[in-house]
Amino acid sequence: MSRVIRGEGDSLQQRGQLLFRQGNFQDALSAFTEALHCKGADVMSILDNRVATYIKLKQYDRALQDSRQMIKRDEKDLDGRGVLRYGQTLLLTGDFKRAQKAYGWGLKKLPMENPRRKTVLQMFCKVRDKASVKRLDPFAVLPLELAMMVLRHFNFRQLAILLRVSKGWQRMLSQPDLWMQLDFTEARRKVQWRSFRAFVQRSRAMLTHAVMTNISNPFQDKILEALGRCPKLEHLEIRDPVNQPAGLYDLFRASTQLKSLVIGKQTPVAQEHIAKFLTGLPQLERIEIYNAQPSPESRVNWPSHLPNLRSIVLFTEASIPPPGRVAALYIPPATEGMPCSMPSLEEIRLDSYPRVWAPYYLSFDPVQFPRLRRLDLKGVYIGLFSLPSSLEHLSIHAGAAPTGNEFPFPEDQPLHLPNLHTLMFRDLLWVSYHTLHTILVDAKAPLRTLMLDRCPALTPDKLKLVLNENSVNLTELGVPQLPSLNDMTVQPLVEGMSTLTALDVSGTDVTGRLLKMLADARSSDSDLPRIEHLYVRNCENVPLEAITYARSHGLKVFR
Amino acid sequence: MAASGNLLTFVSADNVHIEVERDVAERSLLIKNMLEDLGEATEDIPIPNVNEPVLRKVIEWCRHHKNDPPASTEDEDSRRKTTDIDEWDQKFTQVDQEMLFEIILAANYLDIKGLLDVGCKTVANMIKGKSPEEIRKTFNIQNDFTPEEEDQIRRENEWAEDR
Repeated sequence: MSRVIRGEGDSLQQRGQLLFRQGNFQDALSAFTEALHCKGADVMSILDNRVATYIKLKQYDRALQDSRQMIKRDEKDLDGRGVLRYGQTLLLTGDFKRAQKAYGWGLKKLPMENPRRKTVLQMFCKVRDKASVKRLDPFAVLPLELAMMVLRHFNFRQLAILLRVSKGWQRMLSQPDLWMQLDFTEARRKVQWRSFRAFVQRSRAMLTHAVMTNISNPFQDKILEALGRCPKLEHLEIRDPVNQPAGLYDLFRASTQLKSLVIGKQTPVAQEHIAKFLTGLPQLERIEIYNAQPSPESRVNWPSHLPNLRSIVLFTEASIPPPGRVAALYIPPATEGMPCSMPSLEEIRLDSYPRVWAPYYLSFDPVQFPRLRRLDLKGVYIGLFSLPSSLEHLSIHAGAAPTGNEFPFPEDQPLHLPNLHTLMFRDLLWVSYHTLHTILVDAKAPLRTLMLDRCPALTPDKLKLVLNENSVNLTELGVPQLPSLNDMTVQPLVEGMSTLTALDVSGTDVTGRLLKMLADARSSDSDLPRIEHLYVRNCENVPLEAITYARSHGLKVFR
Repeated sequence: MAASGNLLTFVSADNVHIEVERDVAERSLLIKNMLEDLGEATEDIPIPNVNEPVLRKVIEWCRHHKNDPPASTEDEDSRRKTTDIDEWDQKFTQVDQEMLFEIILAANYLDIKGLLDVGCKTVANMIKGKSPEEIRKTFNIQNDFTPEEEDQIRRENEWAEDR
């Protein structure tokens, strides 16, 4: 008779286990509870199942009750299951201390040969290690001064997230200093008015930097207007398309502290507005307009004196206007009355890429700026202006020049370029041995970076020849798409360039042999330079294995 | 225990004597300036506030970095937002939170700029990229906002948060 009843308990337990596996914990619980009441039931095993079920149902107090009952039986049977269930439940309730104690007790009681002892030991160690890791609020431990040192490593968005941690963190983050640079570059969603207002308030409206992007369009006007009322604003960058570009100047006419103004590609800014910004914001040191537009007027009024202006960057895709109109990239020329209106100007970058292509004729001569250090020209007609001796960086990209002229700069006066350390020629038919000879030998340019990208009149031999004539110590050399550059010709070219660390041979016929050669040279006494950065973009003859080999030798390869 | 030659003796807050080479000890500007003022140090140098295990870690860092060039302040701003830490320092800072914060406090007290930087960067890295809830878990911080307060900040911060 008892066997039958025992069998009934077993089948009830099995039914419970099936329900448990199916995720029906409530019915599984009833099955296990019923099974326990059967005569001769395997109480330990059923209790074990029931604790598991209680845990699934998050009824931890019941689970603890059952597992305590299991432990009581444990003392006789030395089973181990009870202590494991008890510990598991305690861990789930977050009571690590008692869990550790329970596992410790189990270790003392269980004989060495008990198969569950190992598990108990593992759990004991795990909990002990976890308990020894104290978790502390860093900003409760570190004084404010050190907390600020930690927070210096966070950008605007990362700081904003910290506001939500706790009141203590919010208090610490209430320092207005932290919120002076409003920057929505990394915004994950559009910025609403309430967010903008909250952060302006955090700076007490004293913010100095603002990068306006990802602004929710309906709030744009209101937000820009409010920004125009922040009296300390020094740096303003607008990347969103502005709804009313013509009104932009008026919004910021009171921002007289502004030192730098950047307006992105999506907002057209006409020449007369550029002139207005410069007139109304006399502290400006830097103006960058990425969508400059010509003016319908016949003249625009740039201020006659801009003593603070150091940098002008103008990009346009507008067509070259007919004569008599002011072009998008206009910069006023020197006049007899005012030989230099911008005595501090150090940088000019002009980029002309009109849809109907025609070269842009500069409205000024760079020599009129005695401090000019950087000149970047794209799409410009070369041939009517000279190069000031103050230049450190010269970059010419595409454009046009008088045919047959290999050095299209006026040569009426001897050229001196004693400061020029960076020279970049891109997409230029006229760059030849003679061009480089004039710059390197005659003008004595102490070049460190030389980029000759798509200059088809040059060859490796000619380049080698001119580089040998003047002992320049190049650190970077770029010769993408240089005709007849291959493994055989690149070696004599770079041999002996002991200071060279970066080499760009993209789009040439070099093969994996060059990579191996340069990789091996890094650890041997060869005449080859120790290259750190190698560019082999669009080199069809460079296999992946060669790149892997070079990288394994510490060469940074870009493909 | 008088120090002799190039060896100095630090005495930790818990009164343990630790010998340190002079060039290692001088990574600490506090000690360096003190030695310059005193000339030859002949007595034990007490380091109050810093316990033995922390002091030993600090000395370990100074010994590894004793030949570092002096820190330049020029590129401070460009490095501000980056939190790269070299490999040795990363291993060095793999300690529990309490020890890490103690090291930072000690580096500040002893005026060891490089170590202070590494410590602050490490804490920054422990926080970065985590949600507010994950940050609370990492440092065992109670969320003490009322639901209304939390809702308000969440709305202000919607633009910043992942998901």
